[in-house]
Amino acid sequence: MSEPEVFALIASLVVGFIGWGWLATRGAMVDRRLWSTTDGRMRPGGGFGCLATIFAWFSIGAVLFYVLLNFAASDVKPDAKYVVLYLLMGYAFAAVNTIALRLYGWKVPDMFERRNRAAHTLFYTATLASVCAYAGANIGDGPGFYVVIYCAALAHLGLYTLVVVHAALNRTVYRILVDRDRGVAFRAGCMFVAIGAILGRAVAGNWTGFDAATGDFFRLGWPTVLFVSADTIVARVALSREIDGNLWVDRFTGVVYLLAAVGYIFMLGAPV
Amino acid sequence: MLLPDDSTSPRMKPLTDARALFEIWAPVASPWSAWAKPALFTYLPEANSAPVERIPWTSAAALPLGSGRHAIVVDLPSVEGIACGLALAERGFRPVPLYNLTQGIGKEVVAVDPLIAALHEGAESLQALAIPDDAPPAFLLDSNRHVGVAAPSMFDNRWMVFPQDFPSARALTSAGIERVLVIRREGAPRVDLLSVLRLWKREGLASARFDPASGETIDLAMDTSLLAVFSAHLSMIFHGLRENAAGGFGGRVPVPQATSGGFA
Repeated sequence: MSEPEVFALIASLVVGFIGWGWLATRGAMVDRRLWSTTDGRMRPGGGFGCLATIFAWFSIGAVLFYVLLNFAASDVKPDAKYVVLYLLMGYAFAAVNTIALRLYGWKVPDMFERRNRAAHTLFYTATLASVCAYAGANIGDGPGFYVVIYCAALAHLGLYTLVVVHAALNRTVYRILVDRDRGVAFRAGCMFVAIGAILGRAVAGNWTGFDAATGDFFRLGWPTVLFVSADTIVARVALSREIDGNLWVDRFTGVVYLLAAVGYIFMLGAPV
Repeated sequence: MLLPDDSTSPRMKPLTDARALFEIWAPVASPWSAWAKPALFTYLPEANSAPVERIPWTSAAALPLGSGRHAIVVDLPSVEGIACGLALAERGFRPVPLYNLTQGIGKEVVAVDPLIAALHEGAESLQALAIPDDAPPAFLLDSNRHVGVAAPSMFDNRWMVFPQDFPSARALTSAGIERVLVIRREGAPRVDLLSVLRLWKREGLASARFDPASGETIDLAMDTSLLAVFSAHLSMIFHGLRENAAGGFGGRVPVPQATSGGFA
């Protein structure tokens, strides 16, 4: 490994360790101690913060391992140290994602102190969205790790822009964080995963230059705007006076978002 | 010991565990327990801590509860809020402690020990009361939460509340709550609580302030425009308080270091 690659490895390790260690500490300090009663009954939402963190951690590993071992650059796939480098970079991006989720109003206390199950759903799905965006940046051949960072940053920038626009256009944030509506959290979370997957696909492929990568990002990633538009309409049409009043409608809509994203990605075919 | 006077209540087993204490103040059966803050319950009072000063809280009887479909926000200083919460528990409310501050190294800006000791000592009287599971909530706040100046080397544990710290108006109205009563002595509620009340008002849940000193109840009128909501939101984002990595608010104020650089 070259010096810059070693630096990237150490930086990823530090960022990932701080970010995920912070979440684990928070969970251990608050959630683990008070998630159940002295007679063994679970508190509503208790322990889910830790579970969501653990699931997110394993999901990141599973998705990235699969992508790196099957679709990464030809010199990365057989080399364990490069697989580890890009895996750790993925964990670092996901750790930064938990900070960026503040743009949507989500904060760590929503997971642990407030034991908000809708916030757990949002955290988990937003982590998956970030992983999808990052995984796409690893697909194809390229000259070095910096193009992976560029493509992943581009995909995340698009993701966060749409997250902010979605927050501004809808009362979804309020429904998730204050109303604690799990259906709305699932629907919005699936939309973010769909957006992350499409943006990941938009930055995937063999590297031919910064201009080409940026051009592909806009050319292939524009349908993500449709998801935000569609969800803005759904959020108004499916508005319920009750909390979790449209649980199944929201779940169904979320699955439709995912299927639509998968359909679009298949329609595009393998990245070149 | 705090009021209400619990001299007649049966002696309970001594509380030895933070989890047991949290269980009493936030029983699983109460739907409002989901909003109880765990920060203070991760601490136990020191064994040699001084007994809490007895604070009479007799104004609960004067509360204008009307139809009884009220939620209450107790915004009184320090342990008086807990005393009020216990008095309200005797009137059928479920006290929900929302204290979100921590202890640390250095002199605390907001005193924590009295609150911890009061929660600990008040637990016995609370446990002795048979509060129904569907009892309306009385959210307990410390009106001193933002009072004080954080000097270097002090532990700045000033704190604030967010809309996420309370049930939404939708959750309250679906539980039959028609009005929120804020028990507060001095002036209008602080900006953090005001932003919560404003969001409730926007969703059709009115609020009023009850002054325990005068016994007066004043309807709270507030600007519910989007601009007011947005500016309050911005001021809460940039609140400048120190959040604790282990949950709650609290962090040591760094001591400025003398440098050897610069001009002589």
